[in-house]
Amino acid sequence: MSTLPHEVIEKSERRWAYVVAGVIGLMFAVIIFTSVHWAAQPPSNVETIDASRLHLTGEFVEENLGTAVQPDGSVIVRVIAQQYSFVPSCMVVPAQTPVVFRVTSPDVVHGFLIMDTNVNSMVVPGFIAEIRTRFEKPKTHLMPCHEYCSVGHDGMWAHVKVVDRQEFTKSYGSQPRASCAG
Amino acid sequence: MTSSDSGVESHVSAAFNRENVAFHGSDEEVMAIAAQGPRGAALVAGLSVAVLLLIWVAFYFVIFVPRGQVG
Amino acid sequence: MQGSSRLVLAHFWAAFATFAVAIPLGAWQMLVRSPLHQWIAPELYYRAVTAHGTTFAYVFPTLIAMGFGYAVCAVSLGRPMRGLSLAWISFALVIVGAAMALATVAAGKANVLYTFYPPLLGSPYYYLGILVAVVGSWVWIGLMVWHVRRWKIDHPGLPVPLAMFATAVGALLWGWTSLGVGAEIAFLILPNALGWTPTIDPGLARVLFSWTLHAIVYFWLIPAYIAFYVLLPQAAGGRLYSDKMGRIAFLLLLIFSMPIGLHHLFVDPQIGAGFKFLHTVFTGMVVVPTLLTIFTICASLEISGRLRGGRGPFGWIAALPWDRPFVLASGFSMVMLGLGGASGIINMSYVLNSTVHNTQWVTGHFHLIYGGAVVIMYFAIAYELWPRLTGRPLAAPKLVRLQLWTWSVGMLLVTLPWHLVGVMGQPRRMAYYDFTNPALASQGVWVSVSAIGGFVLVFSAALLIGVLLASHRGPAGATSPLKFSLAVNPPRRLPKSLNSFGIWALLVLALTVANYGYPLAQFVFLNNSAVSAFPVSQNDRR
Repeated sequence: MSTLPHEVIEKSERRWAYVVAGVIGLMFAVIIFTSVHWAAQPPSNVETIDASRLHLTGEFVEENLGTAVQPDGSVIVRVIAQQYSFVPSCMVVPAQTPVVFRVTSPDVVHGFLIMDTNVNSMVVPGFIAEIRTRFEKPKTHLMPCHEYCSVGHDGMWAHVKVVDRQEFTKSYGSQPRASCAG
Repeated sequence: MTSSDSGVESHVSAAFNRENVAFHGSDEEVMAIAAQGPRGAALVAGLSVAVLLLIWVAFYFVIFVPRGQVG
Repeated sequence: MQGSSRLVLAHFWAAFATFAVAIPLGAWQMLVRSPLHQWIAPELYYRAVTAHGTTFAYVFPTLIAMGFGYAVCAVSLGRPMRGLSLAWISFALVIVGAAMALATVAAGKANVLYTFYPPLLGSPYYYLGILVAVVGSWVWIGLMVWHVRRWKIDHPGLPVPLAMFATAVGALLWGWTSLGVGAEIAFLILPNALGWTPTIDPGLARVLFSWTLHAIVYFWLIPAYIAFYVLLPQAAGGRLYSDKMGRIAFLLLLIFSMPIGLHHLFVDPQIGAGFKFLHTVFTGMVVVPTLLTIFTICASLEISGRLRGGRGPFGWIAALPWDRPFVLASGFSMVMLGLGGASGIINMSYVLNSTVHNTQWVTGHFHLIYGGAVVIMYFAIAYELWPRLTGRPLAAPKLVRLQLWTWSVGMLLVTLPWHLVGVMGQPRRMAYYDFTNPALASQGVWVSVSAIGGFVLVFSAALLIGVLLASHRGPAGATSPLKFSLAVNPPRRLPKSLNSFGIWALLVLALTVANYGYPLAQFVFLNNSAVSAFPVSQNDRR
């Protein structure tokens, strides 16, 4: 006597399952398209570095921090995140140019985001975080540390100053490692 | 609403002991409703999922995309 | 409740005791970092955040899940629970562990937050306390699984009652997922804290923690879903639309909750993009049981509504008995589940995560879905169980409804502005924000709204405790036994796949190896990734 409702129930649940699969499939199609079309992915380079010797030798010694113009016109910005500041605390980059941030920490886990952008990364001591982006317009962005790194965490804010390409070349182009921290 | 046993008596599982199970309406009423299909549920659940998807799409176009490419 | 009432009550009272302290703490935290209050010393703020987080991650939901599990076990299997002394030992371990951890936090010796994130290092008593509590809860897991096995032996071929089946799923899930944080504490943090190892690997610690971090929220969620399937339809006066879909949903949760934890590490530099995307795909799969549940529960409620005379596509909604606390709570829960789920699927969407990671959007999300959708069902379960546990009717039904309303409105007031502020870029876990800075000024008003919502929640929490206390001490009265929902078509026979766990446990194991094998194993080959610990207590002694 109860076969008819039983079939109705099963059929409705199955139909709903297809709807669910469709909705999730649609989201994934957009995610995959975005990742491929933009060559976009979260920072994932898996590169280690000796956290205890950062200041002494290698890529992140103080003289090498800041914005470095590459032969192809792009820039690499090397930053250290430490308790409780970013070095350099004011990073300057040209607009409409490929920018690579390379960030590491000598002490604890930090993180950073650049406000009004999608630039967002953890900074794990022992690893270099590499994140690539491009700023379209001149603007000064705030860049907070967004992971708890003990008591001074709330004071850990940096600035990212995006300037016009010509102005960058004029004002900062001659410096091997540029920053606006001075 | 008359109460009916027919869904319970013939079944031995403990969670269907009369003391432990609440059922309302007669079996016939329940079957009649179920046989008509879950139109209301499909609407509410469907609308909810549509709103969910809308929020996702809105986030994608209004917030994520304008903030620039990162890779 | 057949001899288990004291056991269940002890768990719920202990849970609500921690709740009564941690909720005002949370409201205070929101206040002191808002424009409504002067800046305070950060050390005190982080102490409160650690206490609040530790309570709500490791203590409160564990006690609720355990207590509710014992109640389901005692009622659904048709005979009294066995192994009560073991259950009491389990309870004692959880309490002792929690007390050790929380006392250490209160003393200011473990300002590491409930996520610990080494190389930050607190007192070993903090981590030991959590470990004792977690391991203590494993006894509960053993009891749940043992009762199911014994019942199946005594009733060969019969379907395990859905409530108990789902409880066992939650227990197994907790057992498997707690291994991540257990291993992190036992093998990485404690040896470092006790001075046995000189360094610690934060990348490895984070990957191990992520093993636990997602599935733990499903461990918290499962009692709420059990309530939806097994208690709500009968509270609304109807039937469960499909018992079979319930089992499928719980099994999907068992399989897909855990091998997805890397979505918490999307922007971490120690994991490659391939595995991050793999976890994205599997996280998409864990959305399925929730969406299935929404439909099944709506269909069940539709039956209730139409039995009560509701007509047309929406008339059944108005016809539901919204004055009943269980129905009211469930309605609020589903709204908050939908909104919290929306922010959740944004978090899960791989590249979209970069917009919101570690902003207050994330905090808003999990407070809405856990503090809102899940915890309100804990209240509903408590209200439903209380008369059966205490032998006294529930006091003041009007206050119960007010409590549920204020919890929901308060939670929306707290969490919706939180999402907005996160999109505006406010980072997490800061004790102080300079709202005079023009770039941050527009966030101030929303933070204030959230803070006010926090005090609405304190009021609601006080109502809850008050009602439960009054009900416990009220005059004894006749109370009907706890009843479970009957399905439209109660199953008479089930395939083994829907009535046992063996094959699914194997699948969980296989997926763990596939999804976590390499991300963990890679640390054997990575050099330089271990660093010195940073003891937080020394730093705080200024």
